[in-house]
Amino acid sequence: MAQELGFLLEYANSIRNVQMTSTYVSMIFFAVSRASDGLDQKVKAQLAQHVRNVFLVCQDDAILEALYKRCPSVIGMISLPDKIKEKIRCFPSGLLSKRENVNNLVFDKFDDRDWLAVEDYSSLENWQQVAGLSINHAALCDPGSYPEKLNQFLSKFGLLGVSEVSFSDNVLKGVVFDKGTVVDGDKVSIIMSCYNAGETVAYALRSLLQQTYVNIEILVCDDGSSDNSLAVLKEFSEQDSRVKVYESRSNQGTYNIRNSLIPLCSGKYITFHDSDDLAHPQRIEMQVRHMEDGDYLVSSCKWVRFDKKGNAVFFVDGQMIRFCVVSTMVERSVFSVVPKFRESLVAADTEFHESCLYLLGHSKVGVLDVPLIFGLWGDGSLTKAPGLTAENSGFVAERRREYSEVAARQRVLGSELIADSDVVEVLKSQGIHREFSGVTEVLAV
Amino acid sequence: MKIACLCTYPARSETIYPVIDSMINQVDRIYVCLNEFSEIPKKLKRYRNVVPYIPECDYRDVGKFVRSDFSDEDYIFYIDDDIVYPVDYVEKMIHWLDKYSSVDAVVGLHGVIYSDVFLGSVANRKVFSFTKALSEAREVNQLGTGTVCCRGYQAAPLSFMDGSQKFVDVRFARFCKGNSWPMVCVSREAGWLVEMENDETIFNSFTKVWPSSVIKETQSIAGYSKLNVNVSSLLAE
Repeated sequence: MAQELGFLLEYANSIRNVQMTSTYVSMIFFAVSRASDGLDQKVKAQLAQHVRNVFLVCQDDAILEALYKRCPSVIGMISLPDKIKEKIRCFPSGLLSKRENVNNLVFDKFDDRDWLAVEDYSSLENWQQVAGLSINHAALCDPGSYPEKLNQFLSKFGLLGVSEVSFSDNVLKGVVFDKGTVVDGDKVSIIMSCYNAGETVAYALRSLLQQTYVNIEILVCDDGSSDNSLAVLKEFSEQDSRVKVYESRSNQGTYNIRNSLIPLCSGKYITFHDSDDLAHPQRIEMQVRHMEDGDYLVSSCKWVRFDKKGNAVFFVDGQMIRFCVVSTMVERSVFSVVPKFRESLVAADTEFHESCLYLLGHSKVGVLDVPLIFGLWGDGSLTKAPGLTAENSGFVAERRREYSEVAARQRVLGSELIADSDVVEVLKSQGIHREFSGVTEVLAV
Repeated sequence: MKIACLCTYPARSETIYPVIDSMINQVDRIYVCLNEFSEIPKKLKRYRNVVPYIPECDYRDVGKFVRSDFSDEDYIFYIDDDIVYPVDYVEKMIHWLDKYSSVDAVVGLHGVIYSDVFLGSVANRKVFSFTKALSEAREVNQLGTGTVCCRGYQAAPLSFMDGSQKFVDVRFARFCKGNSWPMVCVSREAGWLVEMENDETIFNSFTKVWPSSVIKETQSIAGYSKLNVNVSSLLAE
């Protein structure tokens, strides 16, 4: 069994890598049910890592409880941040690893004003952690130094800095970037959907209109908002002809909107942007250059999430700079190869990106390792919606996991075995399917 | 009652007798489905507790599921027409079935765990062959229906099994999964059962190349992720 367990854990890793999350979780539960304290250290270490992964994604004591019963010595090999440890009920959290872990510390303390005020984090080995904690220290303890700290971070990537940051109810509203050199090139179409984003869509749109790369068009669709979103969009389209406004015929979700608007784009490249995110002024320029220099058909960049107070959000792995799937830019021919976005409320961009990797090959799908978007980490986002959360603790709501699972199965097994109707059935059973309704253009008066 | 069910066809009309002889004193009745026979062999009629019948069509390996007039408490043994069963087969299988009755298991000797991403290749399976030793019982995705023991209420009806010719094991596994009855491959020594040599088996003619409809059906039972962790823990104790 020990040999089989070792093989099973490696196999589980490959299942995890193709995003078959539910299968992965079940496999690790099975592995734990067969484990014993007689396993060799290497297998125990592997098991500990997998159990940690499963616990973080489910945030359910069950896997830890199972491991505690079967193989208690492995519990001491699992290291977790204090914020997460304190939620464990099935055994004393002191049984977990006491080994110091910088990433756990950063996750626990990144927005802790008292800790940031006194702790010397400048000695941390990871410069990105130092930079992020410096920004947060400024946000919470010394707002006057915030632009300087932010600029120190941006300069590491050779990016334009900020000239001013004013704090209000949402820091992203008050960020003013330096002006850069205008860059021209093939047209880039940017698609945005907007639902009750009256408080944020103005800065989101402005950040796109102030791009160094000027040859853009923005197709923005209001998805049946009940606030002043549509009025804000119309105002922008009246001021700048690059903004074209649409309305959903009925509320249909971001991805159905993308499917409606893609055929209406005139750009050589098509990308997307969320209505509460701030684009760095060099975002489009750098992504286009990345695509053309790398001969990619798809380019994505990284982002940093900021809460409304201006804190950079760190995740459970101790990192704040993360892959930004919404930033995906594609050469328009991609849409003749890769299926359209799934009619889901959430996560269809992740599926789309995975499909690009699968169908186009890794050599055609690039990721630019530069944070070009500041994403709002706020309650209005779907990643924070009850029952749909994807948290910085690693937790992914079950409904998202089930969608990820069936979509991954379709990619791996093929649509003959897992038809689109099977995927839609799962979306419906999870309550995240959205009916396509189409859009109508709102013409400027 | 203890009831065995098997099916056969004319090419094996002589080889079934060692099989029947090996089971006749262990069970109360043996149903024998005679696919494609034109008449019931005289030799078969001589067995007091053998109930031979010629079905209205050729059911192939589904033939062992044609008769299902069992009471819930009966012990059912699905057997193959090319395996000689040991003298203690029924006694031991009943022992295992009763041992795992707390989880409502169906037991057998030939177990398969499929890859969690099974694409139809027989190489992507872990097989616990009935001819080989197994030191501890294992929960599996599928049991070979030539060496299965279950209770009468767990016997699959023909209406469910029909249409699964050549992949009857998959269909039976799906039946058990749908009823939340785990399948347990029990421990035994090597060579406890003896398989007679045959020219062609359904496995050879079908199982190596799987139609997509069968792969899809197998997907519903396949993988370590489909095993019941409570059962696995119980077996590991």
